[in-house]
Amino acid sequence: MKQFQVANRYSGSFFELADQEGRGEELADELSAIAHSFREQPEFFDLLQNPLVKHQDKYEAIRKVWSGQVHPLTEQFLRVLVDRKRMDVFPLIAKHVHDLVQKKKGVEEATVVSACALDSEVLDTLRKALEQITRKKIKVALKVNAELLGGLQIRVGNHLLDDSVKTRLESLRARLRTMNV
Amino acid sequence: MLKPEEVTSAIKSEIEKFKKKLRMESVGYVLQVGDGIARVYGLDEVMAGELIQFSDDTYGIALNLETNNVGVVILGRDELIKEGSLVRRTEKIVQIPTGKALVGRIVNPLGQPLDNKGPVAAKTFRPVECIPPNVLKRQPVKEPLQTGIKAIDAMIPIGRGQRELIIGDRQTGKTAIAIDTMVNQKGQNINCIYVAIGQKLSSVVQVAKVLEAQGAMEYTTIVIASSEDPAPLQFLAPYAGCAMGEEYLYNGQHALCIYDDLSKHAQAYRQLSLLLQRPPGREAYPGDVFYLHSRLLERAAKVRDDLGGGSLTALPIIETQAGDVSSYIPTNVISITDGQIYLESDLFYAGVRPAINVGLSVSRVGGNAQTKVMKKVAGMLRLSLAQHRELAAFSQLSADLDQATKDQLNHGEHMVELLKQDILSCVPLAQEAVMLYAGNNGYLDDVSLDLVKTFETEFCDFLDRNYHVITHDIATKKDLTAETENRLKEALAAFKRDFVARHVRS
Repeated sequence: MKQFQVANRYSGSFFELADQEGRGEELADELSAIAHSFREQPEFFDLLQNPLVKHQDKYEAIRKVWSGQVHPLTEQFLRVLVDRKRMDVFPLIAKHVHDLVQKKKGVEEATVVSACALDSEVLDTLRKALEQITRKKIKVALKVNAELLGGLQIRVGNHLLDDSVKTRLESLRARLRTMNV
Repeated sequence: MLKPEEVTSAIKSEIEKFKKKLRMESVGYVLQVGDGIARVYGLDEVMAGELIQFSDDTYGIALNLETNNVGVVILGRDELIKEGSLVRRTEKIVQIPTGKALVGRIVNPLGQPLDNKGPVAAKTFRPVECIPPNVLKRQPVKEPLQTGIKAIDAMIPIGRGQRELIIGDRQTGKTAIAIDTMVNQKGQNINCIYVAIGQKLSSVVQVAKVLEAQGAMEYTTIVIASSEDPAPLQFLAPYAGCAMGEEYLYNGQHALCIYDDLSKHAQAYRQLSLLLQRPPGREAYPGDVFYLHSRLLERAAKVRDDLGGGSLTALPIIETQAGDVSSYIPTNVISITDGQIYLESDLFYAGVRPAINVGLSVSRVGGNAQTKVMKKVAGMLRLSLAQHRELAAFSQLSADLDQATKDQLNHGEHMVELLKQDILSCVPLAQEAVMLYAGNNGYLDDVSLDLVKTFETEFCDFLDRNYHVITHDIATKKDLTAETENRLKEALAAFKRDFVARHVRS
């Protein structure tokens, strides 16, 4: 997975530059917004990657769309990616930069999946509990998924705290299957 | 019979006992999936070779641990795995059920049943990859493993704990030798494991049917990764079979593992490695294809008596292309094993079945793995057959030969005829010994070639009826005492008089 190494390098240097100007978070949000617009407008993303289109035309397109809208550093960064023909890894870079900013702030994002909507009070208790476990600041995002039937699934980074009824039933089924009668 | 309330109460107690511990698990997300390989982001503390569970209950093995991602081979269908889906660790190195529960079963390389005999309720599990017993734990191979095939037991003896390669072109009877060997293990206290790798399902079904019909499934497990299964399962199959055998090995019992065949296994591993972007080497096989087979076959062993004295015998099978034993995989496996049984299509079509090429087949364990009686009757057989072959090739050039040469040729032809054997006609040790004795000592030389088979069957009947003591003696003492030899001579003389009289007249 060469793309990861590439994305790491680009996002690292972009983040350092942005951080020097003290605008790390702002620029990371810009990148995320651009990545989002690429998802919405795949034709435009394709255009920037298309090897048949001249670089000059791509620069022009970038200038027309984003000049004045985004920080000059972001615009220059896009031009560098065009120049190096690395536009394809842009979504990865955007995510990486976002992660770097979160890491710098010491904030970890937690996704809480529950079967029904939870009120803010419960979420707040959850946040405090998670902060105690991980010893980091936690930002909680809630997702509702009725398939869980009950209980909670909490994902923090690459860790998962799973106490949903669905998973419990599944492991019970696996156990009953291999039971000795 | 199970009573319904028993089942209900068992399930009830199981549910009452059931408690799932809540704890942090380490998970990952699928980045890329395709060709049976998934790249997974996350899985922070994953171990190399760990079993990984995908969100649709498919399993995988983490084979490549890289800086940013983990390369996982998928043991099953990859169509339902999506980018971004959750991946869980199981915190177990790939392991399979072992032990009694598997006897008579047909399973896939993960130990999941493929026959409809219900779930495998195994009590013991073993990791699929395992370090073989070291030098101190082993002892030399000395106990024979009777194949029931005269040519093999006489000239290329296989011992318990040995690794003997069966090599030959397609359609030369490689699997037939393996099946015969398994069938002959009835009542020998040997558990057989037949691993079918990359074969047609139709041929696997046929093998299973034959084993069932011969009553060999009572002590046999069949592990199947057929050609329609994904490459990771084919790669895993021989290791799984070996782990099932090791359960017997380390518990002082005996096991026989047949890997049919390892060339397909190497091909499956080549596919995996290339998809995981490991650099290709000769014939596009990865650099560690030698280690792939050596670590598998090294697990066959005979352990010391104070450690139980169990054994695991391995019979790998390799298919050659047009008799080419010098290509990559055959040379590798030949150098790993303790000898090979080389089957030739020319011999096969000339009617010599099993089509064993005596010159190229060897068993490096040698006479240690032979019973005394076999050593006595078959000691010089290899040499004399080799001489016969040379002489036969030479005699094609000249028409008139002296009487001594003619006699030698005649004797050789009779020995070749005697060593022919149909499939599924395993011969017990005593019968092998008496027939080889008769052949070696020239009792067959004046019988016409097409009567050799009749001679054999009739003589064995004759022994059973009139000289039961001889076969009984050989079978129990495993030796040919002077007394028995004299009796045998007497029996042969008596039978032959009668035989010649009957067949000359008719």
